[in-house]
Amino acid sequence: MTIPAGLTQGQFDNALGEFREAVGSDWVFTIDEHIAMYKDYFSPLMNTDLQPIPSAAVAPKNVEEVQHVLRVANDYRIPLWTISTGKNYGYGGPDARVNGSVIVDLKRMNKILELNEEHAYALVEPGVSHYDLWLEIRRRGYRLWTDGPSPAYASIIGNTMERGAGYGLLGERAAAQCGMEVVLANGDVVRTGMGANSNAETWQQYKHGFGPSFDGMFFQSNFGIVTKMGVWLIPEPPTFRSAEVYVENYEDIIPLIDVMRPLRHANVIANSATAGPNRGGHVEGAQGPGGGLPPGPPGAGGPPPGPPGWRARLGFYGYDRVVETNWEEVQDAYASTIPGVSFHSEKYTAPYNPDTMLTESKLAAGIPSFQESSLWNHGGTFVSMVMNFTGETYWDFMQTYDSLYQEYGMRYMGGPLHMHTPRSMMTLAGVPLSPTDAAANQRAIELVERLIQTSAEKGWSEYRTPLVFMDHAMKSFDFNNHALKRFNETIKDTLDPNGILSPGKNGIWPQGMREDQA
Amino acid sequence: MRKLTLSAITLLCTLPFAATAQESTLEAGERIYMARCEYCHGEGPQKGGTMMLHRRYGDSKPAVLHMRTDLLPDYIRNIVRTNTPGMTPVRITEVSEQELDALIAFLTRNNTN
Repeated sequence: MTIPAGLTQGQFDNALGEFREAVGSDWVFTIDEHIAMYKDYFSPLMNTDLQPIPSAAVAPKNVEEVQHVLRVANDYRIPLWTISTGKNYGYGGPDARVNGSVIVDLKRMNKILELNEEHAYALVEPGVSHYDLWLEIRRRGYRLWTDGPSPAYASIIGNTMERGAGYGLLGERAAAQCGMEVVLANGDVVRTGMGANSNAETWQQYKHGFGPSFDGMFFQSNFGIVTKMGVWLIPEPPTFRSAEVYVENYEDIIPLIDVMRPLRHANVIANSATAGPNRGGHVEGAQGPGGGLPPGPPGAGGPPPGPPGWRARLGFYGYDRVVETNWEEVQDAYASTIPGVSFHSEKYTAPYNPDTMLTESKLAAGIPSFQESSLWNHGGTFVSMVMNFTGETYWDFMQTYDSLYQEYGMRYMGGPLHMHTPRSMMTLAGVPLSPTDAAANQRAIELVERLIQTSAEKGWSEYRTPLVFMDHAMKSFDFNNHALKRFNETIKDTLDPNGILSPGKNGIWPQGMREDQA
Repeated sequence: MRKLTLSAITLLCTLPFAATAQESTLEAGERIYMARCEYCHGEGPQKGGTMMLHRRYGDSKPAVLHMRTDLLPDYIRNIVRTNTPGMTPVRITEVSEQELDALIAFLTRNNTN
């Protein structure tokens, strides 16, 4: 049994007893068989001594039990690692960063506390998945759409806190968040935004509150445990059109992006558009948001079957005439710029029947389809870079990455591009991992660290990264002698002086555990 | 199959999360299956589990999990709780031991042996 550093077996046994008092003995897991369920089976550290092993997992059912768990952890100085559903695959799953951490599993906090059709929002607990919410909306017959990743077993709160992406009108998931409740390390419970007024009627309608806004502080951080969150939903549009734009040549990615940019800025393309490599024209339900990707992690592999063409995926929503006009304008813009461009589109009108919708249309309609599960099922680690929304930038990115991949015997021919933030692009580059070959995975880690470093020099930054690269990514945010890192640490030390909450999350270490203090 | 899908959707439309007092073990198992397994193992395109099982067994066994008649309880328990290629463990906080028993009852309901 692994126990937290600095504790004797007797002290840890006492702490486990207190955890059992906090959440009930059925919800404290310590045997190996149970601990193995809290392991990331896609970790680059698989089959090495470096992959952290939890000492236990505890699963509180409500805020009071979360507070009790925090009291015990503070008393014994036990590092915790909080997960909502632990489905952050490709980025670490349920893994902690520190050996012997106690996993705080929030899956049992699974209530949809409010579902409001009139104002189009939900208030949820961390254990509620996108799929759970989608089912509940259908059960009630509400005319609301959700948005989110296609592997919809992901927690809404967890995925939003990681700034995940969907494909519809609210694909920038962090922007769909409105109001949260957070338990701080000292047990205090804070509500952000208008929720700080005990009688608030706009907690889920008005984001900013009074004075400083702290919601952003709890994204990708370890400053508190989010126990409730408001999430905006989409009023069902009268008409929905899903559309794809196909270009034949590898170089066509440049105008494909550049034509999209002003249309996206102007909300003519209002959804979280995507683009990606495509081989062989329209294929119904083609794998992944990029469409037609070869098997394996996005963009990686070798030898390639030759340069791909590309596909962009778009969605149009609203009144019929607006939808049709916008789609016509988009086609005109592309047809007048790229020779050989072609289009495929499907139009749907309310009431919608998900069972008869094309698989590829479901993504932009927020219907769980689990299409993207194949991205990580093959075993790979992600590099997720945010960059300028220009074709020239992406071309430079592909050349830069391809030359580095080639040093490791692979090619990079482009991966899925997400335009979920209208003024920038995010692209995924995958590096394959082996479930058995730790040495090969060490080479993959080396490649990713070089990709991150080279990207930083080019001005491209990670928006999210697997656990093993968090310190490396944080180092690339280096303005003014790493002022952001020092600011994070100041907040960490103030809010969590014992350093119990998810040490190392996104490169934020508590005092006593920092590299420069070791 | 069509009949099952319809009854399952009816169940979902009444209660996706909690069990009712009158719910039988088989009904509970079907509800859990629809909420936790069907999205990957059901019928239709882009169901990862179904695609993987089809690759593994071809036409020798149904690729859609709830149409199988040869799944043994211990095998199901093992697949659910441990890591297997393409399927990570389902934790007790996601499907409790009692829910897993009901799920097993549902998936073995038509077993021939």
